[in-house]
Amino acid sequence: MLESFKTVLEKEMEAEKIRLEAREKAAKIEKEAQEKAEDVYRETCKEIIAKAKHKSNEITEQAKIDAESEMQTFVREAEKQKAKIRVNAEKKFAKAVDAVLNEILS
Amino acid sequence: METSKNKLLDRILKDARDEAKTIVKEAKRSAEILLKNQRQSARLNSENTVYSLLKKAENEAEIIKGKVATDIKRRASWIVLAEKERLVTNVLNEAKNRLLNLQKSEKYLSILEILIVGAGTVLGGDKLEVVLNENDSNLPLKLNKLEKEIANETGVKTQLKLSKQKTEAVGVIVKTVDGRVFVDNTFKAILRRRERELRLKIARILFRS
Repeated sequence: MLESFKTVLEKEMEAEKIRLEAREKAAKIEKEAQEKAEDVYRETCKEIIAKAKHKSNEITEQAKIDAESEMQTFVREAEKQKAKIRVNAEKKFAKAVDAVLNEILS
Repeated sequence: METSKNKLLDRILKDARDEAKTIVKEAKRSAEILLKNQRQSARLNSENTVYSLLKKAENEAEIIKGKVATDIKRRASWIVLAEKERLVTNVLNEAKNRLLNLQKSEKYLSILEILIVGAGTVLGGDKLEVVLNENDSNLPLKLNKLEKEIANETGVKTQLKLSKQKTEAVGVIVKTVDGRVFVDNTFKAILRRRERELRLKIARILFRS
C-alpha cells in the first residue's frame, strides 16, 4: 500500500514538473511576445507608412503622366489648328496685301 | 489491482501533459492576440499619417492637373498666335516689298504726288520743302498743281520747293522751311506709323471665316 502511494506521489511530482515546465514555457512565450510587441508595432507602422508613401508617389506620378499625355494631345490639336489657319490664310494672302497697299496709297 | 494502479498513474501523467499543452497553447494564443492587437493598433495610429500622405498626394495631383491645364491653354494659344503673327508679318513684308518696287512703276509719280499733298495738308500748307531720294528728285513733279491742291485743302496759300536735302527712303518727307515741323511720308515711315492698325486689318482678312 505504501509502495503504491509512493509510486502515485512520484507520478504526481512528475506531472507537476510537466506543468511547471509548461508554465515556464508559457511565460517565456508571453515574455517574448511582450518584447516583440513594440517591434511589431513599429514595423507595422513603418510598413503601412511606406505603402502610403508608395501610393502617394504613384498618385503624383500618374498625375504627371496624365498631364503630359493631355498636354501632347492639346499640342497636337493646336498644331492641326495652326496648319488649318495657315492653309486658309494663304488663300487670302493676296487680298490682304492688296488691302494694305490700298490703305496706304488711297 | 495492478492494472487499475497503472491506469491511475497513466492518467496522472496524461492529465498533466494535457494541461501543459493547454497552458502552452493558451500562451501562444495570448502572444498571437497581443501581436495582432499591436498590428491593429499600429494600423489605427498610422491612419492619420496615411490619410495626410494620400491627401497631400491628391492635392499635389490636383495642382499638377490645374497647372498643366493652364500651361496647355497657354501653349496651345501660343502655337496658334505665333502662327497668326507670322502670317500677318508675311503680308506686311510683301506689302513693303511691293511699295518699294512701286518706284519702278508708272503709277509711282501720282502716288508720290498724293503723298506730298497729304503731308502738306497735315502741315497746314504755307511755305514747305519737299525732301525726296536722289532718283525721285529727277521726276517731273507738278509742284504748282500740288500747291493748289494743298491750298484747297487747308485754305492757306502754299509754296512747295524741292529741298537740297535728300533721303534714302522711298516716298517723301515734307517739312516747314525752318525745318522745325515735318511729315515723314516715306513708305517705311507710313508702315511703321500704321503698323498696329494694318496688322489688325490683315488679321481680319486672313482669319475671319
